[in-house]
Amino acid sequence: MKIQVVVVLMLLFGTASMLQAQQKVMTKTGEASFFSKAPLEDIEAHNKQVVAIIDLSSKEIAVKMLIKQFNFEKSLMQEHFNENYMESDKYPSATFSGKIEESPEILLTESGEYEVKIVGELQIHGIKKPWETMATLTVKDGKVSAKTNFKVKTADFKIEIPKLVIKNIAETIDVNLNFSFEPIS
Amino acid sequence: MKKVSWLIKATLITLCFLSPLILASGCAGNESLEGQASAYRVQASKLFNEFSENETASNEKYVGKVLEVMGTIKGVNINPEGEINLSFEVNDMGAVSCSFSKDDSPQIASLKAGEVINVKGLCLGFLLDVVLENCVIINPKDV
Repeated sequence: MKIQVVVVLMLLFGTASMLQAQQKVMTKTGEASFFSKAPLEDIEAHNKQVVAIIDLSSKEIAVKMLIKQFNFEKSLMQEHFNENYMESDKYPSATFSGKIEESPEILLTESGEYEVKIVGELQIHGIKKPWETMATLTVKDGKVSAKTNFKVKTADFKIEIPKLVIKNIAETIDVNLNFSFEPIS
Repeated sequence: MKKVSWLIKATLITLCFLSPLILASGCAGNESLEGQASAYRVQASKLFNEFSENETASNEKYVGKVLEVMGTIKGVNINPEGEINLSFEVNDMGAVSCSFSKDDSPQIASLKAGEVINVKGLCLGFLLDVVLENCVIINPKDV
């Protein structure tokens, strides 16, 4: 049975024992941005209120962001993005839940940089897809940061781009995620 | 010549009608909710519990709607977008989070944890908190 990301987020956040809590890290101010390069226009948007939690012991990770918290330079584009393309009243959030695979043990007490593979399920616009990406995890002075980038095809998530604006919006969007975590105490 | 003159007049008249729409669309999403009716009046704790228990149903019920939320202030801070943010106390795991325009910062900054207030805002959805934006304080006399 697939568990909703919000349940995963709350389980990771709320059920740690004192010992395990030291190995769980969280951010409510993660940054997500996407970039569309098309013949007539380049579009980018940024969201600085992404929630993400990592359990370094179990290597589970959960990420959630609200679509309406992406900010564009042009407010009209933001409106079209929410109302026409993403239908964000119907599908308010994008989520990822999965696990860090193929990595050594990561401890908050040991500084280091790790190239890791993250495998799980990505949900955008109400469509769920198996997903994997490479990410860089950095541990420094007891804190964790993570960054990754990947490409998303709008058609894979049934995001329909009208033919009228097909030269304004790319079919494949570049996504960047950048998180600075704090230990959950 | 008469045809060109007519065309210029028609274009100018069309622009006069369209310009308010163009200006309004440029400001889309930042309208004040002060005069708008709320779709629901709800206690912050009840709102949070509904989202926790059934996010799908709560999204359908509340997202994109103007809500009036009542509760006890947990804290006031500045969010990553530079907006002043007020959170309602719910439990240790989450809150109802309300962001206000920078113009309202002095009024919101003067509020203290433990105060009971009413806020009206547009519901965006649920992260670890229920998120409202474009919020305004409701004067208790107006309730």
